[in-house]
Amino acid sequence: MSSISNSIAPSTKNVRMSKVLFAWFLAGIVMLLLGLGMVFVCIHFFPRIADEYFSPVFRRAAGETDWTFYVHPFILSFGLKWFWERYKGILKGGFLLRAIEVALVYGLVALLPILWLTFSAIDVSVKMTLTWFIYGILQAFAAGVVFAKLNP
Amino acid sequence: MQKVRLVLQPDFITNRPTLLQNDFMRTVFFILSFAFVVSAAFIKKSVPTYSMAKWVVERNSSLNIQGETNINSFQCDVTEYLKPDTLVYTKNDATKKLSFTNSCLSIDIKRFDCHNKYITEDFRSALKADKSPKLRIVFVTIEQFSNSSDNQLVKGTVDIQLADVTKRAEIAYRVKTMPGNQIQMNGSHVFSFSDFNLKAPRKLAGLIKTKDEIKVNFQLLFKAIP
Repeated sequence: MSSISNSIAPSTKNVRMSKVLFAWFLAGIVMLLLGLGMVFVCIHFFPRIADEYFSPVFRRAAGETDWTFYVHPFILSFGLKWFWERYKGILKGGFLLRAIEVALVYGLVALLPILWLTFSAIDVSVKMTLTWFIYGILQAFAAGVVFAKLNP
Repeated sequence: MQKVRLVLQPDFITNRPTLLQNDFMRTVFFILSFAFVVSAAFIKKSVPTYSMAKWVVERNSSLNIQGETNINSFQCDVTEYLKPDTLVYTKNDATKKLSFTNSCLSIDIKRFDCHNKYITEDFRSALKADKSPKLRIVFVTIEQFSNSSDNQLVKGTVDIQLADVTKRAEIAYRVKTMPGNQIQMNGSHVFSFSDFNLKAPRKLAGLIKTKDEIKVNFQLLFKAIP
C-alpha cells in the first residue's frame, strides 16, 4: 500500500508543479499583453505623457537590451506566483476579490515605495510615475485572476 | 585645261601664273579664309566667361527639421543664424551655373530647439551633438542662377556633413532677389537618420520610436557682394 502511495506522490507533485509553471507562464503572457496595451493607450490617449519617454533618463532602445523589457512580466509573475502559493490561504472570497487583494498588496508593499524612490532619484514627472503605479496594479490584478482560476 | 606649275622663282622671272593667280585656287583660298573668319568668330563666342562674387549669410536665415514619432510630429528650429559665413562662387556667364569654393554654412546642433524639452535633448543626442557638434551645408553648385529672379526654381548640389558623414544632395531652391542686393533661397530635402549612420531615437524597447525620415527645410537670406 505504501509503495502505491509512494509511486503516486511524485506524479501528483509533478502535475502540481506543471500547473504552477503553466500559471506562472500564462500570467506572464497576460501581463505582457496588458503592458503593450497600456503603452498603446498611453501613446494614443495621453501623448503628452508618452512624450516623456524621449527623456534622456530612459535608456535608448538597442538590440542588446530590448529583450529585458519584454521579459519583465515573467519576472513579476514569478514573484507574484511565489506570493500566491505562500499566502493564498489567507486570501478569502471569490476570484475577483482575491485578485484585487493581490493587486493591492503588491501596490502597497512593492510598487509604492519603489516608485517613491524612483521619483525622488530620477527626473520623471508625477504623471508618469502615476501611470506606472496604475500599470503595476492592473498587471498584478491580471496575474491574481490567472492564479485564482488555475491554482485556487 | 591649264596646267599649274609650282616654281620657286619669282613671277617677274618666270612670267607664269602663280598659285593665287589660278582661278580655281583663288576661289578655294577665299572660301577657306571666309570659313576661318566665321569659325573664329563662332569660337570666340562660345568661350565661357566667368565672374566671381560672394554672398554673405544674413543673420535672419533659418533652418528647421521636421520629423515624426509614433506619438506625434515634431519640428526642430534654428531661427537665428549667428555666424556670418561667406559663400564664394564663380559664375559661368554662358550657362549661369554657380560653382562654389570652400563655401559652407555651419550650424551648431545644440541650437536646435524642438519645442519639447525631452525631444530636444533626445534629438541632439541622436545627432551625436557631443561628438560632432556642427551640421555643415557645403554649397557645391547652383544651376541656371539669375540675378533677377522672382520665385524662380533652380537646382543645386550641396554636401551635408553631419556626425562625420558627408551626404551629397540635389536640392530644388526657390530663389527670389530682393532690393538691397539680397537673395532669398528656400529649399527642402528629405534625409534619413541612416544616411548619416545615425539611429532614429527609440525608447521603451522600440515601443516609442521616431521615424527614420526627416525633412530639412531652410530659408536662407544672402547679401550679394559683387
